[in-house]
Amino acid sequence: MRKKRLSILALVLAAMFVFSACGGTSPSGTSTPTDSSKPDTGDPSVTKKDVVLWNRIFEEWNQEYFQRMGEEFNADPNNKTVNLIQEFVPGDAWDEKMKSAQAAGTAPDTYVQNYGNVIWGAAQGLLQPLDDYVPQDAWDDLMDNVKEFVSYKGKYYAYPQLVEPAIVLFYRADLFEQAGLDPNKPPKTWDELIEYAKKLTTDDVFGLGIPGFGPNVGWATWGWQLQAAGHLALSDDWTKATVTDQGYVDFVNFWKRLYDEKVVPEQPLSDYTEMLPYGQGALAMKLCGSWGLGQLANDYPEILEVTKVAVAPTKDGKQDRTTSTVGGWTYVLDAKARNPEGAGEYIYWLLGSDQKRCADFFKVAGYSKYPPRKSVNDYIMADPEASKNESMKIISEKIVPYAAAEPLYAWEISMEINAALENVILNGMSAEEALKLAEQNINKFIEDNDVPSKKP
Amino acid sequence: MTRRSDRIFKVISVIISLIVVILCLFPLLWMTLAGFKPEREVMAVPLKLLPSEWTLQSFDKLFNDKNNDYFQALKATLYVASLSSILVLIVNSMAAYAFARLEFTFKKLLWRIIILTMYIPGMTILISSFVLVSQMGILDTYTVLIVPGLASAYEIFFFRQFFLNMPMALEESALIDGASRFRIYLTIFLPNAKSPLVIIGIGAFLRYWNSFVWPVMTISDKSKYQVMQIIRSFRNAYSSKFGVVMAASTIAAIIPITLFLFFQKYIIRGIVLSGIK
Amino acid sequence: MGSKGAKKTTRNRLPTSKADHITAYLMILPAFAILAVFVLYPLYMAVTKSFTNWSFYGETQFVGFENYRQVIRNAYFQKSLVNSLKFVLILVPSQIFLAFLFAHAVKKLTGGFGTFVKVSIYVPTVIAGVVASVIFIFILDYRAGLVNQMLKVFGLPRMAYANNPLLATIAVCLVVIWLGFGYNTLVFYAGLLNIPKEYYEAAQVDGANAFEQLIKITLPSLKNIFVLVSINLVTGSLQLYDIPYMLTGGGPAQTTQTPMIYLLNNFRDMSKNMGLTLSGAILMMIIIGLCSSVVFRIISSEKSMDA
Repeated sequence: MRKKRLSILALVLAAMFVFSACGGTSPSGTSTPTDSSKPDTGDPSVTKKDVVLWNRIFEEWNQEYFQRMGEEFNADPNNKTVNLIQEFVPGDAWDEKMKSAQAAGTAPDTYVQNYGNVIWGAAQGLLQPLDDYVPQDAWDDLMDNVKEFVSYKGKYYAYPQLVEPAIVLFYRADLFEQAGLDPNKPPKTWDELIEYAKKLTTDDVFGLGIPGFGPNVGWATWGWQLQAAGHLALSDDWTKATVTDQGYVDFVNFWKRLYDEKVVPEQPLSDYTEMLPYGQGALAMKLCGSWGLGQLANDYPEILEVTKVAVAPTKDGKQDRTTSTVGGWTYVLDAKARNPEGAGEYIYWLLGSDQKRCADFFKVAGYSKYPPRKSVNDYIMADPEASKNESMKIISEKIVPYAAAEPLYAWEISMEINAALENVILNGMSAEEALKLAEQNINKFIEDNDVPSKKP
Repeated sequence: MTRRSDRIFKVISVIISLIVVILCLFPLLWMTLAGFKPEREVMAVPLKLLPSEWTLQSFDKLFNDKNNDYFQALKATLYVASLSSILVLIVNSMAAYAFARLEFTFKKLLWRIIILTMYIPGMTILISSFVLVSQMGILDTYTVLIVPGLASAYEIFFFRQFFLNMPMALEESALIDGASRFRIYLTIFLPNAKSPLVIIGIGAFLRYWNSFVWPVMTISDKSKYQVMQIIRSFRNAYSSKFGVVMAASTIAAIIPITLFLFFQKYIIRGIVLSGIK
Repeated sequence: MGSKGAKKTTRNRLPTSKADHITAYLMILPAFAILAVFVLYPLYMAVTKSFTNWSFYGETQFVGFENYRQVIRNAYFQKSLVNSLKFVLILVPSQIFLAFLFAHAVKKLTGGFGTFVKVSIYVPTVIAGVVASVIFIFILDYRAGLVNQMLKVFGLPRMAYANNPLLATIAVCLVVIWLGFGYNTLVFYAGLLNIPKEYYEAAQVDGANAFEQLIKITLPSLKNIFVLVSINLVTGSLQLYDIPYMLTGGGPAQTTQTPMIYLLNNFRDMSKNMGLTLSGAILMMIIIGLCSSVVFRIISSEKSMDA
């Protein structure tokens, strides 16, 4: 009887083991999926050291391009020491995946990060400087304003891949004509913008698409705040909020007018970054980042043909000022990277050296993104095809030169501006009241979190 | 007089019931219809109630587009949910039997501890559980999807209630025949516990099939993606390819619905029975 | 062992041999181990780490109640608690009311039609919150959704639920109610079936009208069910996550941001330390515990007249 019982228990235990084994635990986790792509160098005496890179999934062509680059790098005869393992992570899974990897100690050596998070990552000790791993000539070639975006306490914490202005006005030339507007004269002032949008509104088509409340407003109105007030939400020394001056009041009231005059849909038809509703014909004008051009070229080429771009309208119609921030992506080095040298080598190979290779990317992107390096910019400008591109011309000549960096202060502060807009437009507060409240909240946040000490 | 008012009340009940049934089922019907519409009709202005032609376009995109991991996710989720529901039944009924039918040292204390876990809300331990499994190095495995949710105080409690009410005579004769306690559990108690087995089994299947937060946190390997994870990622593309989204939702809904319809007698009776207690 | 109480609990239990002790432990082991590792230990971890500035990089220091202070002072957390209260106040009474009412109608139905109704209303309860949200996002779509197109046909303005605090709250509640309606109704239905007919007959003889019967018989008899359903609904409403997350992302103006959304946003945010998030999670456990016991108190004392 005892024997029988033991055998049954053994069975149960066995069952327990079976299911725990079927999990196929792989402690290295992330590196398994791409291991098969390890190229055969044909030289067994040289062992290449792995570098794990997490790239983000944007457009399909973007992923294809970087996949190819990774393979080319691994096959490059000059590369004798590095085996790049590149993984593409979808944007909506990124935060969780990164947290998981950090918790498990399996964060990648290097990953793609936006400008706004570089300084925070550096301040939190999540990143390490790249100065020693990327040669000096690559740093010297960076445009001066871009250099600032990636510096923290005298060190470079990221190497920039591209810059993109966040605010460009896209509009449908054909619908302009139908509405009796001149497609070569896009709106220049806020009043014109509203007037045009009204004329373009029909039963099925909304006049203008703007960023919806929430995070979108948080970052996609930085340019509007700058053009209206000449500054952003914090004083230069980060000691107090600067959101109650006339510029901010004007901006908030303008935003409210967009809703009051019903020229924008009451709720956004898509995420700010998405051109989809515009492409499907639901919007006559849309604000979006320059990347919108790339989306249209890929998904709605017939709409791209009737699309023109313009500088975001300003209060007085003058356009020789900042109307947009530039954001974009960089490569950063994890603080616990196992192979920082290798990561640096790939970053230099991909972004910091050969101009032609870099220029190719912007060509593939349909010139919807812009190089952070002077020499690459010159190289592109020398290409007749690029200089003929009208949209690119407007963006690179009229928007990018005036564009400002994204603010480096905490995200909560930007969200207070969103809250102010929500309070005015959704809750019926006056602009002055709402901004006063935002000022109080920001000042409280500054005090609670000792914000001035975190200024890079 | 009372008869007549009774009849009126019944007619009203029938009418109200029909309205309620429509309200309950219509969203599902609308979703299914959208899955069979051609893409341009899904979000058509003005509205198209029925598809002009019934097409499998959206389903085709869902399953055959190389960027879609839906089919793989369907398989992975089915695997996780089926295996888990079986394990849930084993783990919890076994413990319930011991607590219902056996005497042992520290029984009261152990029972209290198990009951205590009922009072810990999932959201409180979600994040630390995540940290724990990360440190255990079991992220991106089936283990992390299956094991942490297997045991549940509620389910042990439910089984225990059922086992407590089984007649002693069953056990007595088997014991005289020399059967071990485990054997009695296996050959007498389990076969007689069909209804709790079905109810808890289906409940566990649904719990795993519908789970969303946990897989999002712990699984980033596409071959183990869970269905709800994929549907969640459609959120960012709202107002976009709704045809495909609705096709995906239809399939994600049809499996639990089928399962429910198949076992509906047990489940509805189970609720009615548990409501009495 | 000789006391009356012990005898009562062992009524259905045969004496256990020594060897059976081992069997018992082994049978409990899997469940107990899983609960210990994946419920009790994480709780212990959450409690201890909530007093530190723990993140995955850098040194961990003990910070006392600093995290708790920060979370409690945080305007978003406060707002999420207010929202939670709002959801509890809307969802609990409305769901109980609808389910209780419809249970009476179901009780009147017999035969195949009765089964059909019971099965039909239960179908939505097996649907995932995520799927339900996606369906309603589709139905409520601002431009081309069913509801807004119907409104347009009748010449009414479109419903912009994502930019209207009231409509957003209604939309979230709508989905929650749609998902839970069938289960709650059947629970009340079961309770109604269980009330002996004689009670009502006796009351009729006494000349009690329908309302008096409701107050004197139905409600007291269903006391346990009210307790069960209320606690279920209260804890469920306090932990609401997937539906507002999918439907509104917590907006507009944080009016549908629940504590769980707040905590998980914090968790994803790399500028927040984990201790901070965990202290919020512990606070929620205390709040949920308090709410449940308050609900329990209120209902069991008010309706205790029949006991």
